[in-house]
Amino acid sequence: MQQETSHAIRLAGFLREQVDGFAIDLDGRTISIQAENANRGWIGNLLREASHGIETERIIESQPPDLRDAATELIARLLEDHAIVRSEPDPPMSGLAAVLMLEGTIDRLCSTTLERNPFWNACIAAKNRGDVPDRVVIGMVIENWHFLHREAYFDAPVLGYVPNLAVRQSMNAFFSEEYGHDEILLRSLNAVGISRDEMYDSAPLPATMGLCNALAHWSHYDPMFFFLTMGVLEGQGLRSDSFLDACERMSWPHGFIAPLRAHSMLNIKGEHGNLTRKLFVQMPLLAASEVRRLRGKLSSFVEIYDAFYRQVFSHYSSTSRQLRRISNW
Amino acid sequence: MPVFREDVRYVLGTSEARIEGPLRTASLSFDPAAQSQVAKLLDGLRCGGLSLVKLQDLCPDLGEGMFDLLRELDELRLLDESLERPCPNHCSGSQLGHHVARMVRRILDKAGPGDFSRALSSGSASRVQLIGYALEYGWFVSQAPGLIAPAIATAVSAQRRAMLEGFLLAERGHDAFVKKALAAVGIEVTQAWQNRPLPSTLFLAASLSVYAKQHPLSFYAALSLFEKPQPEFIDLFESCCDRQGLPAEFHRPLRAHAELNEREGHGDIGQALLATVSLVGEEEQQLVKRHVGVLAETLLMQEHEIMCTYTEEFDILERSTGN
Repeated sequence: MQQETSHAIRLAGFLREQVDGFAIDLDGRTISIQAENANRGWIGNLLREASHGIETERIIESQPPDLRDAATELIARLLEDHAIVRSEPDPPMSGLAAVLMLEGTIDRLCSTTLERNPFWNACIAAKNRGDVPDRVVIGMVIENWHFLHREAYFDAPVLGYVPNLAVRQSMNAFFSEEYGHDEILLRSLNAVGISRDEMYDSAPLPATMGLCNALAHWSHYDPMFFFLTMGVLEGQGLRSDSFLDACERMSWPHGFIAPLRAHSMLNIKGEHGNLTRKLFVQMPLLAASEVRRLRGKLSSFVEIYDAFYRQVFSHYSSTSRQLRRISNW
Repeated sequence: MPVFREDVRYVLGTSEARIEGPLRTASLSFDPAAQSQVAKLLDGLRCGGLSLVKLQDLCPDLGEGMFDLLRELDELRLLDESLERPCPNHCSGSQLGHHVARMVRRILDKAGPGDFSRALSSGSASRVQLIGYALEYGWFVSQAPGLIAPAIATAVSAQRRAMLEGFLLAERGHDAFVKKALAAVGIEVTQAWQNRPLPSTLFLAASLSVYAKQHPLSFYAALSLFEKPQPEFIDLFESCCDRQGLPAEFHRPLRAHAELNEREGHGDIGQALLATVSLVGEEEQQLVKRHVGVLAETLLMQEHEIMCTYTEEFDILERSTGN
């Protein structure tokens, strides 16, 4: 279902002037509109404009204030008679054209936010152990675990995505590959002495929990927008994982890195970064207004994703405790 | 831990036992030498609370036969499952509300006042920051009906649903207060509501909406964070507005909204909803604490973001979603 943002109307038949008003010839049927001299001017203008197609709001606003009610009433009557029809408010776009355009917006937004994020800057610059503080490195895996541990919260609502079978199948295939990835990251955490029980007793950072809940909210109430976020979250357009590369340059032990590498390889092999494109390509048509709406919301998503990495960096750089234990609250 | 159903009786003979339920009967033949062991087994099943291993210890001579017997008794619907020892850490919804309130107090005391509250106390909050607060508050309030609505669908009792319906109706249209305030500083309503919320404001709204749908208990507990009257905050906000030369038409509607909430007793809605929950197990208590604790931290994050984002260079159009 795509939201109708504007009521564009168009005359459904041929307009004729008559002595006492106007007539609209439809298929085998004529609708007469009485218009005495005083009203002939505005009714004629309204019908002529409608024969080319015009937005309801504009046609009503173009009337003098004292005639607007009458104009609204006339349009309603003609709609009821099917003498005018609601026309396409927007030219449609293919799913592929839409996603290519939206990817461009995402890239532009990321270039001023995520790509300047202190966490990623530190990873790119890191050479030796400690260049990215140990707590930040482990903290990143902790928060990632919290995120993946809650993946069902935000993937589940779209597993039953009704409007499009192919999209639904792709989402289900994705989820079945994604399920249990928190367990892979847990092995990394075990390697640095953090147990499952400790993770179960811990709380994610506000930006991590917020990201999970924002995604779950969109997944429930704005699935199209949720689909758009998936590719970014799964590393759309990235050839390598800067965090993982940094861990290797900083010589973190094999037991810590290997599960992270295994997780990254699963995502690359499953082409999860391409998920958004895969979903949108399967949508035959989208209203241009819907694409504009989605584009308008993208900055919110990129901003909260940026906030996630910023908070991981700022919190774990300054804390003396690696874990946020609920039992300590 | 199997146990005989309440209405099951048995008669033990020297080489046979009859186990009778209201609809079906089972009989067990055994070697007379094993009678005392069978008696122990039947008594064990009468009392319940014993694991399969412990039951087998009572009648070693029956061997695998005991399992066959239990399977047959189960198929004839003569067995039940013993009640587990109740979890010692369960509590009522009201108790949970108090635990959570105390926890929130500890978190906030430890963190100290938020950045925006500190700026209000010291009188250093700028004009843009005061307006920024109203923008974030207004966006959140404008979302409120949509956040509460899913909780109506997930309310399982008529009482809870009625409370939530009342709450939704009371909250509807409250963004009008904030619209009025913003209009006094020249911010058009459409412009204000198109404004993109700060990440933390979005987190607060999305979390409530998701808890309302996925975990109503967390939603009820979280409401107390938002509906608590804060008269001191409003007083400080007002004097900062005066200091910055913001018109009374800006802060007056915000006070009116706060006073309306207080008058309508919204502060109790979370606790009142929790009071309708009779039992909460350990896992869910921890879940609620995690959710509400993180939300309390998110409120502090919001204060920090208001101070950092709403600087003198702030441009409302730049944060517009520009649809």
